[in-house]
Amino acid sequence: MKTVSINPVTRLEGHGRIDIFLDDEDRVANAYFRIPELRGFEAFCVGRPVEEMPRITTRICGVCPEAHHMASAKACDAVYHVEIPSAARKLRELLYNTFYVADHAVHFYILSGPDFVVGPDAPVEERNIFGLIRKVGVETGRKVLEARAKAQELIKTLGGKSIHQVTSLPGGVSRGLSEDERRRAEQICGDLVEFAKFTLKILDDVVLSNRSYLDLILSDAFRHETHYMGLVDERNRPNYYDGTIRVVDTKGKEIERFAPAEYLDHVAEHVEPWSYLKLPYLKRIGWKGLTDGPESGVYRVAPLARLNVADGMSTPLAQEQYERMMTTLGGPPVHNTLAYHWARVIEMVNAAEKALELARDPEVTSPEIRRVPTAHPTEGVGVVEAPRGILFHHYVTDERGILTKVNLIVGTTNNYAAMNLSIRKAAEALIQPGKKLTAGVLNRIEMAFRAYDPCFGCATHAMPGHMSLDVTLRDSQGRILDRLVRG
Amino acid sequence: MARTLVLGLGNELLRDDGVGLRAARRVAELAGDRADLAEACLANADLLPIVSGRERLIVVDAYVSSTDPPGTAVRATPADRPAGFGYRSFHTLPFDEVLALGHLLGLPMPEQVVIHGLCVEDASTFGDDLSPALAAAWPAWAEEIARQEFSLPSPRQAKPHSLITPMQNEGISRRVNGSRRWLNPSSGRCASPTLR
Repeated sequence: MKTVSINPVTRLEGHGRIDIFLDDEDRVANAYFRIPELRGFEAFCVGRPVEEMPRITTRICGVCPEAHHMASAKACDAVYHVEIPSAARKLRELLYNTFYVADHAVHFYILSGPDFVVGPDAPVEERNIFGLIRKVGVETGRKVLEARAKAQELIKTLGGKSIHQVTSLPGGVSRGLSEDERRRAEQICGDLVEFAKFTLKILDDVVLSNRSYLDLILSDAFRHETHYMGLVDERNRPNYYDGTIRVVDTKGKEIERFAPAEYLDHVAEHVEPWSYLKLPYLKRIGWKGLTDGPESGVYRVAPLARLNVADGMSTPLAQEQYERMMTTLGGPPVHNTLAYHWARVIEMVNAAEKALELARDPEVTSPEIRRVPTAHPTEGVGVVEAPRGILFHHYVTDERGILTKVNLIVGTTNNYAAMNLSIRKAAEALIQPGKKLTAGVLNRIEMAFRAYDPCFGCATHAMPGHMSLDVTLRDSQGRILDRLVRG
Repeated sequence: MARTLVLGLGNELLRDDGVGLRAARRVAELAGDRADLAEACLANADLLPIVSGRERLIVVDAYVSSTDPPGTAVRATPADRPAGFGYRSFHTLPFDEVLALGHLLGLPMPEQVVIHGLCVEDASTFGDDLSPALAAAWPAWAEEIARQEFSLPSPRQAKPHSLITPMQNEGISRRVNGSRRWLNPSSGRCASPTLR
């Protein structure tokens, strides 16, 4: 009997729920996006040895376990006050950039691709991966599967398992690469670069060469002027694994720059009675409600934000594409929410090129891959750029390394306020007095928040949502006027 | 590669949600060389390389219900799946769509697919234990699945009260159709496979 392990993660039972409130003139007054919650994550972790966290947190959610594994390992490094060897960092980064290619491919081809390839107005039963494959051909579908399989092969080599990675631990990693494995990694990463180029061509052929899609991307219904936050290297280029946190304002001017461990000095969380999920905001501006603009503390994260806080990209083809996007859309910053999709493909190219660069680096076969911690454990923050936005893991331990406090702020949570804004704006544009909710309205509202690639599994410290959708339209007295459920 | 794959779905850190994984391991153990075992959190296209090339797929999962008592066992196929099976999430494909995608891509997909589910009590609290009803029910459930699917003699004389025969199962499926939700095959995103 052979055993195949895929990744025990879970799911969340419940509905994503949107409540749209109308005023006395039947115009949209407010829209709220609510999600269910799972219980007891912090309680489950407190009392455990901190070094267990890189393995536990991969099981919070099956969508991006690599991100939790890395953020958790970095938080453990900080808890034990240990700087990992250069080779260990490169091995972690190689795994992480490979994961980025695979993760962004899922979003582009399965989640957002159908909106553009099949068409945003296509019936929902056609606007899916099946419709996409019928349109672009079975060979494209096979290419996507092959690329993901290769990425997972390399992730398994580097992480011990393709999903529940186990190799990053306080002070470094537990296994390196042999020369044979490095050569295979180089081969895989070369293939991933070609796959990323192929994806760019599809983006060009299907989306960017279609004037109506460009108009959609540029339309006001999908635009917000907000602040942006992301990790950058010393040359202000996005780095998904490590860096300094940079915040730019609505004009693209840097207004904050801080080390990840200082995040509590710069980010606070607002609580609303209608949601389990907190809404992070910039402390220096304060919580001004669910509004956009320069006076609002709302910021955005994830692909578009990462490109907006950057001065350029760290690899040649990604840089070329970055310049092209900024020229076309008039950034940075670019405020068009649907440009998240374009930014995501540019990041896919960047991550593939970066992974290839690392796979070619002879240092990844170095045996110097771990520095054993010797300091007393205390407190630490680990930050990475998860595909869905900046991810904070913050642990406090006693002198034995037993966890006494755990806090996570995940990518989707960072974008939660912005998603609510986007939903409200789409609702304002689409819901007309006296008109009933239609499937088309639901589709457009979905597009407004799908651009963020939200994932509510770990946002609620739970699993990937069984994301059914329940849209309710209420009058100014709170009475239900209409309801549309997809589940 | 065995012709039959036993696929356990769930998360062992979310209390009862891990019951499908535990049971799948036991089923595969009892089946011996007649089946391979796979474990997954959820379902998405990454399952295709795992399930393609098999003749038969046996999914072992948890489900929640507003009417069935915890520990109730059901057996279904993609064709007669209960309402709610097609639950969508942002990052996943419903399990039956995974199979359909495989067919569309021309992959050799299993001709026979059965889904076994055990009704759970608590799958929304983090914890690595099972609720008492599930802890008591799952070993016999796993053995019954092995008996049904591999024509193995039942290792136990007595059946647990919650375990039902296939005939009873079909009746219950019809009666409570619509109130039952499969936790994993319908919704999840499954991670990529790891042979180990």
